[in-house]
Amino acid sequence: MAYVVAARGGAPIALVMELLEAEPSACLFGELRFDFVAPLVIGQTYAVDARIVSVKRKRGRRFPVFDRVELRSRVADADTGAEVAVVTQVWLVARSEDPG
Amino acid sequence: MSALEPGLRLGPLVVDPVDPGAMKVVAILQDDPNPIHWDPTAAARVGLGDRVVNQGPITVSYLLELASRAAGGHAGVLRLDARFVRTVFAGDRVECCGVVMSVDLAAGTAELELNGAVDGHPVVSATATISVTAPGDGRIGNTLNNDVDS
Repeated sequence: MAYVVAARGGAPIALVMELLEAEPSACLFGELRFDFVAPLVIGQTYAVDARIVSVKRKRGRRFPVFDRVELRSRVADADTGAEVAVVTQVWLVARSEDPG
Repeated sequence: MSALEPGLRLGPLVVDPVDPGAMKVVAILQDDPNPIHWDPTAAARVGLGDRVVNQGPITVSYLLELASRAAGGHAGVLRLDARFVRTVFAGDRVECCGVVMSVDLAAGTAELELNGAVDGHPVVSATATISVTAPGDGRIGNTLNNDVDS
């Protein structure tokens, strides 16, 4: 549920892809981390603050050139502001060329 | 008193088969625009074969379930950090296992290593921190051997 809240409320996948100028076929999920502070509760309203915290150009086997993109979503109780979860995603985005 | 101790093996938790219907539901829930999760021809177009691709969060949820059973409930999982190794497809049989690496009674936590595999090939691995003080159901040894019908 925390992932759905983070994805829908903070950083819709389509929006992230648009920001990264990436097509779905060029993206792989690399890592996914959940830090839970409190259980999410059905009926509660949550506020999500999502941000891209890093983009690193790398080289690899699956993608010769790719960006390692770290996206972090903080889920908080909308009434109290208390943090309930942090969802960290790492996407691997294939790039066709390496300008650097 | 927790029954968890270092070296205790967790699982197996088996998902057989991975259900393409669940992928459609999750695609809707998370507004996922990638058709490889519901259209086999889209998966084929990008060289992934003729089966739809399980979303990463679904694959991770299997390990999250294993951790939550060890913790005696979902509220007992404090952290889970997963790395994707290989793509999981509809129809796959995913077998998830784990081991308790350490228990810190002073902190009230235990560290787990968790893995999921298809046909013996790793597809996802994770470490997790669980609470050993969360209310459990006292059935740790039994609940960890249940299969999951997806």
